[in-house]
Formats: sequence, C-alpha cells, structure tokens
Amino acid sequence: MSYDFEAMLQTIKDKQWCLADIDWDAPGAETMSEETRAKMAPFMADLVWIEHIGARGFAALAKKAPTATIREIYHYFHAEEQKHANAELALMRRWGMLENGEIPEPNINVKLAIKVFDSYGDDLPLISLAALIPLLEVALDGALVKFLTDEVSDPLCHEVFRHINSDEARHISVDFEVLELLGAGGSIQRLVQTLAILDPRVLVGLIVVFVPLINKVRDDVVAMGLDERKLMNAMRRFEKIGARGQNTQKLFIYHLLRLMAGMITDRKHPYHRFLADPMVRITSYVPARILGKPQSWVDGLSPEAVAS
Amino acid sequence: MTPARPRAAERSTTKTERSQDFTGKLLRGTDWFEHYYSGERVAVLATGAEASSILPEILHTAAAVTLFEESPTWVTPIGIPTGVLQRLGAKAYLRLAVRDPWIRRQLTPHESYDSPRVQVSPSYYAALQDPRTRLVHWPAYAIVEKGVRAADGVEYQVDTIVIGATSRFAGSPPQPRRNPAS
Ligand SMILES: [Fe+2]
Ligand SMILES: [Fe+2]
Repeated sequence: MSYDFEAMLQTIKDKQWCLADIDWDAPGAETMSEETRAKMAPFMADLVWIEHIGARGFAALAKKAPTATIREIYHYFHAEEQKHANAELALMRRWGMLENGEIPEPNINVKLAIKVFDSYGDDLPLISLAALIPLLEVALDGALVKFLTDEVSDPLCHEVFRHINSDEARHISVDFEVLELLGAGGSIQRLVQTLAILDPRVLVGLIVVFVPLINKVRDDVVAMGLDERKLMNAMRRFEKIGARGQNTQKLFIYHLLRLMAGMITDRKHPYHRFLADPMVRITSYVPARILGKPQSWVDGLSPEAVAS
Repeated sequence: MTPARPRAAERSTTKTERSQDFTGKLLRGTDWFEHYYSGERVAVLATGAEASSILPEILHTAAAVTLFEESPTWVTPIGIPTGVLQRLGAKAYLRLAVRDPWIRRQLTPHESYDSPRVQVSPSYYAALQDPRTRLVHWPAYAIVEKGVRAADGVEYQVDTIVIGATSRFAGSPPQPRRNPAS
C-alpha cells in the first residue's frame, strides 16, 4: 500500500498558521529569569539558524523531488522552516534576546553549511539530503525543542511550539515516506544511491559541515543541562521509524546515518575523539571572510508578523 | 501586450464572497487592467507567465508590489522562434538580467514540473528588481482583512489584491483556518 502524498499536501495546506495568530505581547514573558535568558540566548540563536538551514535543505529537495506533489510539499516545508525560524526570532525578541533588534550572527559551522548549500546544494544527490534531513529533524524535534520547552515556562513559548511541533510531525512523516519511496527502486537504482555517498560533495557536506555542526550543538546543549538520554531517545526514533519501512531498510545511507546517530549520542565512542572533536576544532579556525558573501536567502529572516 | 483573459464565466462566486473579509480592493480576471494603482500597495497572486505582463504594468503607478509568483516562467526580451535557441536565449537572458543568484534560482522553472513555455517580456526582470517590488515564493494560503498570509508565517498587508486568471486562487481565494494547530 502506498502513501497518499496528495492527502498529506492537503493537510499541510489546511494546517497553515502565521505569526499574526499569536499574541506576542501576552503575559508570561516575565517568567523568564535573567539566568535562563542568558543561558538560552545562544541556544535560541543556534535553533533559529538550524531551522533556516533546514529550510534551505527543503528548497534543495524541491528541485529534486520525485513527483510534482512531493515537490509542492517540500515547497511548503521550505516555507514552514522559515516560519519556525521567524517565530523563534519573535520569541527571542519577546525575551529581550535580540540586541538592537538584530538577527543573531550564525556560528562558523552554520556559515559553512550555508556555503555548501550556496556552492552545490542543488546538485547534491537527492538520497543524501532526503536521508540527512529526517535525522536532523528527529534530533531537533526530540531533543533540542524538548529541552527548550522543559526549561522555559513562558506559556507563549509552549503555544508557539505546539504549532511548530504539529508541523514537524508532518515533516518527519513525509521525510520517512520519501525514503521508503526511494528505497523501492530496483537494485541498480540502489547501487547508484549507495555510490552517491562517494560523491566528494556529499563527503564534504557530511564530514566538514554536518559532523561539526551537529556536535557543537550537541555539546552546547548537554553542557546547558540536556539529559543525554533524551538525545538517545530522539536518535532511537530515527532508527525506529526507519525500521518500519521495508524499503528504507534497503538503503545503505539510512544505515550509515543510523550508525552515525548512535555514535553522536555516545560521547565515549571513538567517533568523537577521532572525527567530530577535531572537526569542531578545525572549523573553529576557519575565518568567515574566506567564505565570501552568502546568497540573499540568508537575509530572509524576520521576527515581524506583518510586512507592509 | 495582451491582458490575461479570465478562464470561465461560471467562475464560482460563493467562495469569492467569503474573501470579502479583505477590506481593500480585490481584482480578478482582467479587472487589473482597468484599475488605477496610484500610490497603492498591491499584492499580485499569479503564475509567472501571467505576472510577466501584470507586474510591469502595475508598477508604472503602484507605490509597491508584492508578487506571489506561483510558478516561474522562462522569459525572453524579444520574440525568438520556438526551439533550442529560444530556451538558450531565455537562460542567457535570466543570467544577464538578474544579478542575485538566489533570485535567479527562484525564477528558474523546473525542468519537468513547470511549463516550458517562454514568455516575451522586455520589462519583467527589470520590474522584479525594482526596489518597489517584493518577490515572494512562499505559497500564499489566506486572504485576510488587511492582506495576504503566506506559509512563511508573515502577513503581507496591502491596499489592493490582484488575482491572476490562471492563478491557483482564481477559482477560490485562499481562506484562513481558525485553529490550525488543533
Ligand atoms: Fe522546523
Ligand atoms: Fe522540519
């Protein structure tokens, strides 16, 4: 039985929401203590930028979508990730985390991700992004966002994330259904998909961008007090949902990422000592100047509910 | 220049009435051609093919135009006979006329899912890059009291809304939902 992407697209259209649906001045902002504010500000900045990178990921997927319906779904997801980033910026503003109302500067790992997307994001093999994005989304959804909503008692924050989580549930289900679709191809197609891993652009994307980006956030959040078990549970979800898909199981890259998810969670794994930690250190020395000017999509964020 | 023609006369009216929520002017079919836009902020919901004739025209008098381009279209400044040359011409023209690589990406039709037809418009790209134009590729999902809401979570407030005849909202304008998260 195949999944009804058409029905999902309709649901997505029906469930649209916007920043103006939320009363950003509602009481509750005062529940944010000075201490929590200081702690959460860099976390929120990272979150905003990861959503924005996710948005760009869906834009790239839209170019490669296997059907017109899936392309339109990705088109909406692209916008929704942008909406999440915008809503999180609006929360930051509410909590007094935006200095002079300015959008926070992305860290170097985000800048590297932007560079990769600008340089060849649209040429990456579909399978690589299609497998990577669900891993990012379960980590974001299950660990980072959960951490935030546990730490912050402002009721408005919870209202915003009810909207965001409802979107994310649809993202994750589509992500895995697309993997299932891609895994359904013949053995030749799967061989091509497996070889995609050897594409130097995919390797660079994985090792230079994804590994340090994820690890930095991972360590930052754990240092702030995220229970590592939550991270583990989030990553298990990647494994669990993937295990339900017969065809997903046939995808080499899925298994590679599944193993990687396990290594990311286990801080004692040699993965950290030999790959992730060195990559975080090396990338921290990259001067942002050499990356040049990013494309104009990075300027698209705004905490404003209304544009006139 | 040929104004786009409304598709069918029996265009549904029941749903149209509901969009009277919008307090500004809502123009459909060829109505945009007769309206005087002086000083107005205008939203255009249209396919690229239609927008390539609507936008330059409206921009003559409007204060600002937000274009919700539903699908991009190939454009050439002058008529070129159909064929490989036409496609190459359109690609080269986009490359030369639009500086910003991201906007160029947004304006590039998809190989298999967008229409391969080429529009002739000497002023579309210039109009798109006019400081008074805002190009939006987020899907619009609702027309509300003061403007258009899009999937990026932003409400774009305008005085007048133009719905192109081939727009996917030509039949029924997008409607807001009450409790999207529930
Ligand atoms: Fe998101
Ligand atoms: Fe998402």
